[in-house]
Amino acid sequence: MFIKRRDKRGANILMENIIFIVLNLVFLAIILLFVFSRMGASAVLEEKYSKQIALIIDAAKPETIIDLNMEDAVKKANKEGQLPGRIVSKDRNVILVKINPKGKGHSYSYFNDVDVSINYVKGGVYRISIKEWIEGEKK
Amino acid sequence: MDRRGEKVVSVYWFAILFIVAGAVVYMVGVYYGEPYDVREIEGDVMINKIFYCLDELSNFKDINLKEDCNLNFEVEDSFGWNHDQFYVEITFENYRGSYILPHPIFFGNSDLKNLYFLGLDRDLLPVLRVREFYLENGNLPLNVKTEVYVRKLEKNA
Repeated sequence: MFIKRRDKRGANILMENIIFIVLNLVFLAIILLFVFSRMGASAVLEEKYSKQIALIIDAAKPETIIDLNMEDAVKKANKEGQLPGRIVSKDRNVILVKINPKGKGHSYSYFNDVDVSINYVKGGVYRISIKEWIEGEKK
Repeated sequence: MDRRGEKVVSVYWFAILFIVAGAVVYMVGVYYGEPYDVREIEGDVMINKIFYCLDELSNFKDINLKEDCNLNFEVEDSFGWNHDQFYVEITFENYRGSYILPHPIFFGNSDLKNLYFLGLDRDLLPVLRVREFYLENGNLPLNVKTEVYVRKLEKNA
């Protein structure tokens, strides 16, 4: 009788501690999930890539081809319903990155006056070609 | 057995959890809510580009940075920007001896320089990048000082 009661109390203490630890772990996991979700948020990726592409173009010399791996942005765009080829676009000297088709995206301008073309290749890679303007072709 | 102590501790524990969660949400919000400030990099890249451009030019008279150095100061149509977010000032000094120097070169929105030196509100100031370099123009050794002011405040700060 005595042994039985002591066993029950021990089991209760063990159970309470396990529940306590599990709840703490759940709390920690929720916090981490929140942080990671913010890190990979569309707005953050849009800003990161628009500025990165603009700076790449600014620093590049004519006749340069650069392959930029944007796998994380392409994966996010797939979830949002955006076609991979439409994530990055260019209007005059302004780069627009739009991961969410319903959003406004993020734009950033570059100051290097060169002929730039940006195309989606495959596997999350965008190819940036930088050439000198051919006379009369400047848009 | 008296378990009131444990109950009090658990209430405090939940309060701590809420405080920690609130702090994490606040810090993440502040960190990712602020834009990346790339103006310093932009200014440095522009100075490099100007240096390579001047190095290739043989004559510093009547330099047009737009045409000769392929600089385009047009910016996106947002926040009321009117292609006025950059200012470049290049001045020449004698490196050795004394001789007639090329005229200084100014390009862009000169108000940014005034705004920078008025310094009314540090958070609203444009970014200034300055670099000096040695250059030979013909046979003249020159000390070239390049100042680049970048505003683009709304997208970087």
